[in-house]
Amino acid sequence: MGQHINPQIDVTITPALRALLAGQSVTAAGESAREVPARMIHDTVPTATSVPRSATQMQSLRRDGKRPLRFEGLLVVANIVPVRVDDMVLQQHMAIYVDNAGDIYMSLALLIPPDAPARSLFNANKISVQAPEQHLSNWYDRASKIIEQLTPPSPCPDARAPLYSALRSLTSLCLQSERLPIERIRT
Amino acid sequence: MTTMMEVTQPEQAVPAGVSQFAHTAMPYHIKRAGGRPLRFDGSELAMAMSYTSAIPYWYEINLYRTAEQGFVAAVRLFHQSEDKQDTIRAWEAATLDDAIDKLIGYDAANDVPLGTDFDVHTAAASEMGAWALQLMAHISDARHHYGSLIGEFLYDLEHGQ
Repeated sequence: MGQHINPQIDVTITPALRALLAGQSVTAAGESAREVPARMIHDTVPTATSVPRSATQMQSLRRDGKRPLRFEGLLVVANIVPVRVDDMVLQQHMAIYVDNAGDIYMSLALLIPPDAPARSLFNANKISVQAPEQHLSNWYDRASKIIEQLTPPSPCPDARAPLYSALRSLTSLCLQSERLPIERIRT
Repeated sequence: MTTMMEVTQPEQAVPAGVSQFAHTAMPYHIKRAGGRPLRFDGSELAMAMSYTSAIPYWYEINLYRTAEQGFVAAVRLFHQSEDKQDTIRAWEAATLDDAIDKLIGYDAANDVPLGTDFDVHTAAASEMGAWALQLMAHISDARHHYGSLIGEFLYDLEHGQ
């Protein structure tokens, strides 16, 4: 086992399962219909700019190997930074959300072109304002491995530099506490 | 390719509506590694697979609804080589969430072979270290492969049409 090749994934979901999911939601929540989740920020944010929102909505954040992280909350800031690796341009997305209870979530995605020999990465977690470093560190480790897969062996060991630079840029922008309207949400 | 699977596939996806599962139930017989075969009447709710010609193995995951309104989750590991034994793990679950949790909790690291061409009794420490690193890389790759599959599946479940 074990080759660094991008697996092609095919998914088939029957209408029966979708109906079942909708029905379960009615039972569990006691509501008449399941609220349609907002599209992922990775799909909706067009440019490398901060996108503050003013209204809470159902968020659904994609995660590799886990269920999407779902909560009712506010998108506080989102940012996209291109990461150039050799001739390839990847996109690193970061978004921060606050839910109605004041908890903070961070989503990270490294979007890789479909023809590249690696799959895009997605992660999202609840984080602490005081200690998001572990989340970022873990993400950096994962993304770095993918970057290395995409980079042919070279005597110049700086393949991670663009990623690190992009991550640092995103972090400095997104983690400015004054951009997080936590107190407003809590009050 | 050797297979452990003998499953009668339903002809078509059933239309929407939970009550119609029992009417379209098909007999399934899933041989399982380390367990008794799982027999049930039901219908397949969803499937995802990671077949890629350049990768010597692939995963297939399935969700079924049984005629008794329970659920079955299955993870199948296939090898392109006919010399390798395919494996199937399948679990019964009372609820859909439990069934999905079985798929999420599956650890692909258990599918990585230890390797029999390496003699741990005579290898030097440095060789052991290199072997361990290679094994860790294979485990990481298998987890990433399966994680991509389950992530795509769950995302489609939430966002697909």
